[in-house]
Amino acid sequence: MIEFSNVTKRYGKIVALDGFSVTIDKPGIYCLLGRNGAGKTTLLKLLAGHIPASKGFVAVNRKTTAPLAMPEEVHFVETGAAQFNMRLADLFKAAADVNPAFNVSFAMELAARFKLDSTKRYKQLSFGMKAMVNTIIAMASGKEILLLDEPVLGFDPVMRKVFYDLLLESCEESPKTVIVSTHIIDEIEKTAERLIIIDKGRLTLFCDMTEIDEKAYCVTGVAEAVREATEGLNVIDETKAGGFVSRYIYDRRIEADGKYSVSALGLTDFFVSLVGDEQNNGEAIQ
Amino acid sequence: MKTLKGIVKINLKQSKPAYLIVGILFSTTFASEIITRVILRLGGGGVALGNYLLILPLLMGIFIPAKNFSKLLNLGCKRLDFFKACLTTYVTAAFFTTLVCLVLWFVVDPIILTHMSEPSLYNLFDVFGFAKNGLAAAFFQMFAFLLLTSCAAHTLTLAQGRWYGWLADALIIAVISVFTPIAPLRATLVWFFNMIIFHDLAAVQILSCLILGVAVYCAGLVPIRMRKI
Repeated sequence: MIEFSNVTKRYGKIVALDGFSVTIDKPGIYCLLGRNGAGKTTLLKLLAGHIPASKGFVAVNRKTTAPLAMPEEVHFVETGAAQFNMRLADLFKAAADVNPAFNVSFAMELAARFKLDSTKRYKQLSFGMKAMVNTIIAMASGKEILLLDEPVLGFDPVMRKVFYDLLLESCEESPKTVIVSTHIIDEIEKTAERLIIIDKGRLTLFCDMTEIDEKAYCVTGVAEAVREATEGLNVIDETKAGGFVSRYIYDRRIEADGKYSVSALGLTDFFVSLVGDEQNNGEAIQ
Repeated sequence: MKTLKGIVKINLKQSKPAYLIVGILFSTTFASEIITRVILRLGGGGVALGNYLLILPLLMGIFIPAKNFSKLLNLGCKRLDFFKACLTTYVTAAFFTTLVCLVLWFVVDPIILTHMSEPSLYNLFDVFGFAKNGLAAAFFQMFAFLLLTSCAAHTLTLAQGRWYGWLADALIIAVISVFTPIAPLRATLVWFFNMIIFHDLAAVQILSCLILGVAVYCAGLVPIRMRKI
């Protein structure tokens, strides 16, 4: 179980996380979304125990994390993480030396599926391939919590598909909690089971992905009719074009009628509606 | 325990820059000694070959925290494990470096001496006064001193980039430049070097190095805690 309890993290005068609280008690794939500088990497580093909280605490299986008490259950992969310049096969063996739970044969199998040449040295690989190696090291780590910060950065579309397929397979084989931070929202939408959105260091939304399908939609039509139909609902954004208006809703569904239409809101549109507004103060939505 | 062994193994394998520097220094000096002293039979006293190996633990104390820290953490190493494993690495490095130096001192140096026109080699075991305490004591005296140098280098390297790292650098420079010209302060400096190198009692020198080494190494927990991956 992962618990963030009223966590604040400051870097000098900058507040990266501000009174952040969330409890993750079910294994699964979690999609962590937020704009640049929203606090995603800080959240992952706090959970991995790489940095201490300024206020509050982060706990994994009831043990508080800290730099000198990093949780054994967690493997964190940072964007562009550097590795020893070894042949990949040797690098996987080195990972097994450091972490006895590391599965070398599974790592080699993943490398083969990603079409990585395990006789090549790490520095001989392209940027995308290096990212892939880091992801393989995480997936074969045998840890119950994997934190992947922008794991698909530099992957081509085929590699991204392979990655998400592998992630699903890996979670089906042995249940684990995987938190994936990414900006490529449409692709993670098909894989992730739960969604965490943070904005300006605060938790904006924590829900099942199915809730987005059920509760996130757009109402478009004549301004007056749309406003009347959506009154009392949770309007997360609004756009105007002439006498027409589109309201983005996160609430119970309403039916379309002649004066306005109701359309589904994809995760990208929902995310942009939720955090794209500069006036937004990072307040949580229900 | 398995994790610590694994980290030590990686640290020892991935200290190539340190091995390279020492290797180049050792081999060029060795070649130069053979040419000038043995073949050409030139010059007087020289520096014993083993002395050049003694910088290896110091260099490892610099390169391991500078080059291996982030990479080990990216493989899944924990900060506390890195702290524990590095000390084991330095103990191993200091032990084997001292052993090799002793072998060179007893096996290679006498061969070179027999070929020299004016047989004399400066060996740090003699210069530091360890040789007079017997072989076993000399071994442990050099081992303790090398361990101290690697621990100090380790902690100072980890602290670089933080205010206390710069402060420590400035303090070391200030102590050397201010203490040396002023007689009473110089006496303190002499006392310090006497404790860690030149003390007549081998046990005092060994204990001083070990206690100071462990204390300095433990201070490294502060930068390890704060260091970015």
